[in-house]
Amino acid sequence: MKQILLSFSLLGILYLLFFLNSYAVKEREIQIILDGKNQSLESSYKAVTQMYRISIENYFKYVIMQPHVIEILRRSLHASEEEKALLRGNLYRSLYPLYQQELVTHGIRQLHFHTEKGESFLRFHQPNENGDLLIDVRATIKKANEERIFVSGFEGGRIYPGFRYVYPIVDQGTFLGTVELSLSYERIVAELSKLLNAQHYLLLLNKETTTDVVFEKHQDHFVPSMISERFMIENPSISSLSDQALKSPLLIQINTLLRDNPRVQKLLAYHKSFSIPLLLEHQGYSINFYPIFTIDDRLGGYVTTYDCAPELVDIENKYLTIYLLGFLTLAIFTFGLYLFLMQRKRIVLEKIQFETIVTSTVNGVMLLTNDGAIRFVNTATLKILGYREIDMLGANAHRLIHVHPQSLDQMPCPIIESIAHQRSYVGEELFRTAQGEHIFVHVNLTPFIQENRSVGSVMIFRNITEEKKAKETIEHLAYYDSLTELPNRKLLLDRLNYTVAMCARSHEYCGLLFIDLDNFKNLNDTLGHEYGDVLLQKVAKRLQKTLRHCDTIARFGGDEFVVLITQLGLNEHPSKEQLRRIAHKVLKEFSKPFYLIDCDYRCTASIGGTLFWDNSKTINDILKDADIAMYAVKKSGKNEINIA
Amino acid sequence: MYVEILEKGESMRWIYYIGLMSICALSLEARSLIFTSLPYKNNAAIVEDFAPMLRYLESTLNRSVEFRFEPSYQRLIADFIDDKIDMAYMGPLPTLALMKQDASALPVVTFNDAKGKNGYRCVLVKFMPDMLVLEQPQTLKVALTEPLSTCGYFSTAPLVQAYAKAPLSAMHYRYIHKHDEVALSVLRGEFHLGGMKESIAESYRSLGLEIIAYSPIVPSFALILNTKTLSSEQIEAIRTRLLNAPAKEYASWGKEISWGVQAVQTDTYRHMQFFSDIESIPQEGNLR
Repeated sequence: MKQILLSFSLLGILYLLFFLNSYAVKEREIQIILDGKNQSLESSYKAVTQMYRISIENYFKYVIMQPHVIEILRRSLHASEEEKALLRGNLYRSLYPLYQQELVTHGIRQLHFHTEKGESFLRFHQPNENGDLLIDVRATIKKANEERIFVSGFEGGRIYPGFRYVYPIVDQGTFLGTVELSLSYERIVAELSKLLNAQHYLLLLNKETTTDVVFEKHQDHFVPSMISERFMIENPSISSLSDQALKSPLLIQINTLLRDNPRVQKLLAYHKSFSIPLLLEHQGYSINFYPIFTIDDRLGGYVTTYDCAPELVDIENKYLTIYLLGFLTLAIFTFGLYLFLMQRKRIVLEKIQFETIVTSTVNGVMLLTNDGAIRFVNTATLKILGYREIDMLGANAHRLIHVHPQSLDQMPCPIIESIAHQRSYVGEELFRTAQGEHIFVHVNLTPFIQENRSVGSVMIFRNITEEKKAKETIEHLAYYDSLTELPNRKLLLDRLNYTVAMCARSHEYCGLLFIDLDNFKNLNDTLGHEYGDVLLQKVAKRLQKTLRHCDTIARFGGDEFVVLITQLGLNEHPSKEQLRRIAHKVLKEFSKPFYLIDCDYRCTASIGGTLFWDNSKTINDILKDADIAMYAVKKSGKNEINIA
Repeated sequence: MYVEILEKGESMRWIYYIGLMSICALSLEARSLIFTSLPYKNNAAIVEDFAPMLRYLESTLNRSVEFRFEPSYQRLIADFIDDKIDMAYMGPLPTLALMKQDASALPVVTFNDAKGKNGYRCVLVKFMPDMLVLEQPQTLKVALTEPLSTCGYFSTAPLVQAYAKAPLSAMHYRYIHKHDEVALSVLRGEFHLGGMKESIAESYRSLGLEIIAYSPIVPSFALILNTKTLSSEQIEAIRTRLLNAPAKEYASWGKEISWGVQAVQTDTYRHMQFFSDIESIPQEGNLR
């Protein structure tokens, strides 16, 4: 669970970082496109207005500043209202061909003469509107009038806002007034559309500097823009641009989005150029705003273009793909990390388990390299062998601890051989401790495989010295008489059985002597059992001393001893004589006194014997024959020999 | 979406029909009314003059009113008959012409002049400095508004006759549609004389336009309603709303209609009937 949470948290953080970075890159790409479009708009706008400035200046110099025009204006300086009316009419009549055929044709909507006092003298676009004072509401006229300089810029007006070019008219040092030529925005758009590829154009007029200063009766020339309450547009009834904007479903949708977008409203207040990207119905659009200022540096409005921008769709699709691929990549990475963490956890657990097992086990564990060097030893190893870890690591295991009975040339070390051939080995070996003591160990050697190749072997061993001794003791107790240390009845029967089988093959005669101590009961009864026990021990030792090592001397029970004698010969009679001689030898040894604790004791024995040479007699038969023979001696007076 | 609905059975079909009818009813209810004016001025000037009044009416009718700009008097009358227009601002002669062709045209109010009188005059104008050779009427050029304009051929012909002692037909004349344009064309020297509405001619005095003859008073311009497209309740609402407009309200309307209104009387146009043979008015001028 912890690993899952960790993985998901990491995935979340990584994807967040990836997303934020990709988003920032995407925004930069979009901004580059938008900047390009806005730059085009700005350049085109400046080019168009500059072009008009040059052509309008030519109109002013070479067409308007004609002697008859100067004369009319000069006469109007001191004329009565009635005379002024005639002069105004004459001026209208004389310049109308220029106005209609040149200026209007080339998009110059307004030709407007002002008096030297800043009043309207003649508006060619509205001739019957004149006499109103403009100097207070028209900064261009005021500046041109007062400073007698050419002034140009965007500006509101009593009837229409426009792109104004105002020239002072000075003749022979006399200031006659000013003349203004103005362009409509539609004309600017007509030229812009030759340079740009925008779908729609709109001029957002700043209410404060443009439409608020028009005559009351002309207020209906304007309607609120859909984008912002602070901006107006020309009435769609008289402006095709506005008509398109208010009737085009696309523009209505775009403008509604712009109006509802707080960022757009905020940017509009900054009076700087900006562009807004939009995606509508799988189409990309760039809405570009370029601010235009009045000559007193107040915002006149925004030149607004609606551009198709299919690149935005491409970018959007590209980054959707990137977001998806990024997510998949990170998911795969995270899944891999999850698996790694789980694997790591498992390995750590396994390592802990391994270390716990290896540390806590009583068995010695050693890791050997392929050349037999010790790479790892556990605590039990150190305890069993008595070495320090530092003394063992790197040392050759065979030379350090293995006690090999013979030279390697004569008998290869099974451990070295198993390591060399990457085999398992299980067996008992003799190890040498640091103190030089030899101990028996049970070894389990297994090849250690890493990445499909053997890098050594793991040797697990345990000290079986005590175990082995205990086993030997148990075995001894099972087959030997604890009092006399002679083979007991069980071992005797076993060897007798074996001997019978061997005789059957070799056809050699073997013999069995049944020895029963005479008067043993009296000894026990008179001197006590401890004297009896000592006697039995002494008898056993004397029998061992007297007989061959290859003969089996067994305590058969109580005061009965049985001697199994092999290799008596191939013929019965000599064999029987040989058996008799051995029995005499035994009996002779019995004639010597036995020293029992604190006294000498003379003891005799009755000996019965029998021969066997094949398996025609069972061991019971053999024992019975010897017993019967011995019993006959007992009956006949004891201390004799009877070989049946 | 409708296809999916229809597939769900008969009951869904009825729901669909009811929904469709509701949508149609709503769209009818929400239809904008169409207003037009005789093209006596340019479009911008017409908007200036009538937009305040239309806003005033919109608030009563709960309906938006849109402008429709007609290129000529004849076209306006034709579109009115075709029910493309709900309200029209028209002079007395075109009103008569319309009423003769379409009985559903109903003048509801007439607009007063500056003196509060219900009627106006047509005038004959010239540029003051121009010296006219009245003895040679064939050299004179006369600018007229529209064949069906009250101040067009109808009023100007008698004024020219009285001023120049020669019939208009003896001179060169041409219809140039708008009253403003008549004044400006005379100022520009394109015509020696022009016939137009007195109030408009007055506004051009500041350019040296001189009024040289006045017609008798004719009924004022009126608001004509289309009884085929407007309900009687709507007509009554418009009439009542305009007649009850306070002075402060109509003072803010365009100059031509800013002096108040009067209800149209049944005999308002009666005295014009006799001296007008509308069909005899030349539809085209004799000056190309």
